[in-house]
Order: sequence, then structure tokens, then C-alpha cells
Amino acid sequence: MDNREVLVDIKNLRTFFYTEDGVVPAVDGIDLTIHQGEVVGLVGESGCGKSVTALSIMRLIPDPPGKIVGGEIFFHGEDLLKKSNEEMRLIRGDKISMIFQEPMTSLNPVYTIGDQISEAITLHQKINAVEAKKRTIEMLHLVGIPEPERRYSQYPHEMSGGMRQRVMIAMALSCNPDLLISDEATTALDVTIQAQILDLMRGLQKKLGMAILIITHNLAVVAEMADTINIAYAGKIVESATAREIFKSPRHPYTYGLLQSIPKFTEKRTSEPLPAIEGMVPSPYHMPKGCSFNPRCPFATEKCREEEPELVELAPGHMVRCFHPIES
Amino acid sequence: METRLVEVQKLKKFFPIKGGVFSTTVASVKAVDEIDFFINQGETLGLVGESGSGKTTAGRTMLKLLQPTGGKIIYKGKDITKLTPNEMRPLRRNMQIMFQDPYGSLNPRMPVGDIIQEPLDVHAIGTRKERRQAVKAMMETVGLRPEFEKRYPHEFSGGQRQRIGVARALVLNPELLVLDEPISALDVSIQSQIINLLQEMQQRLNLTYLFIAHDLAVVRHMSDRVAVMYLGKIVETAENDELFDHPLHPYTQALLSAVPVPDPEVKRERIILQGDVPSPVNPPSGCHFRTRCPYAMPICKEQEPAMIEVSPDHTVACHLLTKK
Repeated sequence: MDNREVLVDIKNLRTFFYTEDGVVPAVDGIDLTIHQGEVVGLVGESGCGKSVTALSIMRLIPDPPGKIVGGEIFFHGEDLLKKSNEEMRLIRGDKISMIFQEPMTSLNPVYTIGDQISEAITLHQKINAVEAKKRTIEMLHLVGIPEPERRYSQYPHEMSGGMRQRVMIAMALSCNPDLLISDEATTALDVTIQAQILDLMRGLQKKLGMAILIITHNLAVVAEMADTINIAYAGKIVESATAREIFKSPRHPYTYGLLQSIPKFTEKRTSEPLPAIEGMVPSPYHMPKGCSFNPRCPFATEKCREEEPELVELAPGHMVRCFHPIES
Repeated sequence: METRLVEVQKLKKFFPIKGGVFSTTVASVKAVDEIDFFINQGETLGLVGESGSGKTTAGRTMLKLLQPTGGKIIYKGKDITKLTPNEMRPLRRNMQIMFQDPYGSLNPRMPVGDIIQEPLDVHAIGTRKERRQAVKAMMETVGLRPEFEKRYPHEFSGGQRQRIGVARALVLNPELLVLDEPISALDVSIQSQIINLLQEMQQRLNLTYLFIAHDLAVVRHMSDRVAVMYLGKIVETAENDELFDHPLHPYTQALLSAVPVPDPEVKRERIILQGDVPSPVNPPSGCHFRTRCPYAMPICKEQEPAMIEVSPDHTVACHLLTKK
């Protein structure tokens, strides 16, 4: 895996929001590496900073109130944070594209889906309208939309949720990006439709070879899709390793607690209560001192309440941010 | 012997679609189309299905929060289908519902103590002082600090708000509780807390649950028996392990195989269904699932499959099984 070229290298990213009620450190030390053609999962609960990380990569943080206050985002070796808005415009939708949770709000309701995909293509590639249409229909066909010629002139409201998500994927992949960011793209879909979309994404990844950053709260989805997994908690990466390692020997107490607490679909029913993580995610306005997980951690000591742990490599490729990691 | 607390027979709920100059009924949404199920005292029936399958409507119609279009609802051996709202009121104490959205289902202008007390006020139970006592005791039971009774819903997190929902539903000491996606809006680490709370309450108060959910892992963990709905119909019902280990209906099989498993080493055989769920206004003739079924036969188009009992307490509606 590591002999593949590094595509994205995020170092100590910090994105804060300056609100009337105070400063929200939404992302406060995210480190993330994506190799070419790799599927990377970024997992966490609401407020852990996973979506803000994605928007930071795209440089789409609303400013004000948001601001990227520190860190670097290398893409093909160049720091995206040093790019001008004009340069970013050429990268977005071309080299990096993104799909979102709710396809209805990401598609323009007054244009046909064909027009919207062609627009993305003509914006980034020097081709005429006829060729763009041809390419659009090719893309619709590629994402498994039946009768692409007819669908080309349909509006978003004429399609189901699963079909709209396919349109979003067609649009995102129309310029052959090196990186596709999927932000909870299958969360709003039904299980059987989610299976269709995940299957499609897997197939397209194999065929086209782009890297995918999958952002989700669903551990099962990343278990099926990702090569490596990063677990975020309260704006920081707390653990990162291969998917296999994360599920087989989680080292951070949060990762461990999370894996324990989800009901196992493949196991027989027991009457035992689920091992739950006590308490709740800290308010971003009142982050605890020391390790941000310490108020909920069963292993927390005085040190955890005072000092902040660093992300350290416990085993080759297995990074953990904890003073008392669980033995493997 | 297990006693049946509630049973529905051929339950139907259609929503009319009005149109034209005189606002006549031009068509109807067949949300629930002749379903049968029962729930025994103290057990949990899981009702699963995708969006639009009619599971929420089934739950609400069973409680008569929606007037059924047809069929019967039998509660403790008594037919309650035709009861008037006035006749229903004393029964309502025994049947409560808890909703998915912890934000939308609580009045933002009411302190939580009053929210939890409201059912007691409506049914005029006890003196004012006794009601307050009951509210405080209930808050304690569900894991909320009683001194927070004067606080408003926005001061609580999503998980705590669901605890308020549980407290409000349980304060009347009901027998039957419909749980409509009670945890799907919550974060993963909070979900297990609420699941544990619901199970603890069930054991302590001998509650009967209708658990409506689309997350099959949670349904497996919570339910004694499971019913699977597709486009207004129940296609399969069985005891928990039986349904998950030996699903017989092609839809149940596809649904179960589509669930992602949180273990990268498990590689499962996946049945990917083609297409989308058809509209409930115009469901396919015969078997509703035939348009997406990998095994569809000519008979599926012509005839609706009957519910047959393949083994004790395992019923399936599919022509593949009637043929044998």
C-alpha cells in the first residue's frame, strides 16, 4: 500500500468557526494521508469535524464565520491552502470532487440533469456542447441509469433518491478526478439502495482508479469499503490504521467503545445490555482540558485530565492518540 | 401460555388523493394493505421495512391515531376498531408512542417537567402534588436529573431528549408502547444508551413493544419476533433468530444481504436488488415485490401470494413456497 504515491497529505489541519458565542474549534489537529487509488474512511459522530475536514480540502469553508487557521493540505505535493481562489476553482470538480448526503439539495431543481452534468464538463474541459452531451450520456450509462438518453432531459424531481445519488456520482466523476470525497453519501438511502450505491462506487473505483475519501458515522459502511480508517473525535484524529487493524485490534478506548456498542447483526440475540459509552460528546464551546475523551473514558487518569496526548505510531501504520492505549 | 395483547387482522389504511374541480378522490395511497400481526404480552415485535413500506402508518393505525380504512384491531380480546375517541380515551392510557425526532416531538416552550406531566394532567390522575412526584420519579428512572424539571428541551442533548420522550411515554404506566425509529436520529455512542434504557424499562415494567425501525442490527438486538413489510404488505414474520438465520422470502433475503457488516474480514454474498420501490398509489398486480424479485414467475403477476405458515410461527407470502 505504502509504495503507492501519496495523493493527499493533511498535516495538523485546524479550522475554527468564530461565532457570537465564542470560538468553535471544529477541526483541531486532523492528520490524514490518502494514497493514489486508495479508499480511506473518516469516521466519527456529529461534531467530530469530519465534514469540516472535507470542506477544508475543497476550500469551501464559509468565511466568515469559518477560517482555516493552521496546518497544510498537500495535494499532488502542492499546498492547497496556498492556492488562489482562481486556482482552486480549476481544481474543484476537476481533480477533486465531492458528493453529499442529500442529492436533492445539491442538484439545481430548475435545470435538467443533463444540463447540470454537461456544465461541469464544459467548465473544465475544452470540448463543445455536442461532445459534452455525448460524454454526459456516457457517464449516466456508467453509473447505471437506465435509458440515459431520456433521463438526460429530466429534472431532479422526476427521479428517486437512489437515482439522484447516481446523477451526483456521474457529475462528480465526469472529469476523471483523482480524489472523490463522499460525505455521508449513502446515509439518507434505504438499505437496499445503499447496497446498490456502494456496489456502484466500488466498481467505479476499480474501473477508474480514483482515490475515495469516505466520510461517515457508519462503521459498517467503512468496514466494507475502506482500505484504511481514521477515527475522529472532537476535532482530532484519535486513531488511524488499516481497516483490518481497526476492527481487529482497536487501541484507542473511544474506537474500542464504539465497536463494542454497536449491535451485531450477524450474532444471535442476547439479553445482555450493550456495552455503552457513558456520557456525551463535549460541547465545542467547553472542550475538556487534556484529552478530549477523558470525561467518558474508563481508563482516564490524572495525566489525561491535564495533558493532551500526541498521535503516536504504536505499530507500523497504526497511529493512536492516547496515554493508555488498549493492549493489542 | 402467552397471551395476546394486541392483534390486527386485515388492517388497511389508504390515504385519498384529491383532485379535479370538485376535489373528488382520484386515487389513494395504499400505505397499509391488509396486514395481519399480533404481539404477545411482554414481547417486542420488530417491524422492519424501507421508507414507504408503511411501517409507521401500521404502527399509528394500530393505536387508532389514524382511523383504519378496513380490518380489525383487537386489544386484549376486545375489538376496538369502531370505538369513538371518547370511548378510546380510557384505553389510551395503556398505549403510548415514542417518536424518532427528539427535536420536533417536544414542545420547545414547555419545561420538561410539564412535558412529562402532561399525560397525567390529560387523564386527571392523582393530585397536583402526586403528579409532580410521579414526574420526578420517572425522570430519575430514565436517567435524567429531577432538578432539571424546570429546564427547556433546547438545553438537552439529542440523547437526553429521547430520555424525555421515554419518560413521557411511560409516565402513565402503559402496557403497549409503539417505538417509531426511536434511535435513528441519535449518534452511534448514544444509540446504545437508549437501546439499553428501553430494554431495562421493558423488563422492569413488563412492557410490550412494537419496535419500528429500518436498522436491522438494532432490530435483531431488540426483538423477539420480526415482521418484514414491503409496499404496504407484510411479506414474512418469524421468531428473531429464525428470520435472521433462515429468511425465506426473496425480499427478506435481499434486505438482510444488503446490510453492511462492521467487520472487514466478513465477505458476504450480496443480492443487489435492481430498481426502486414502486409507488404505493399504483402497486404492481399480484405480488407487490415481483418487479424487483430475482425469482419472479408468471403467476406472481396474476395472483397475490397467500400468507402460509411454513413452520410454527414462521409465515411467508411467496409463490415460490406455495408451489411445493
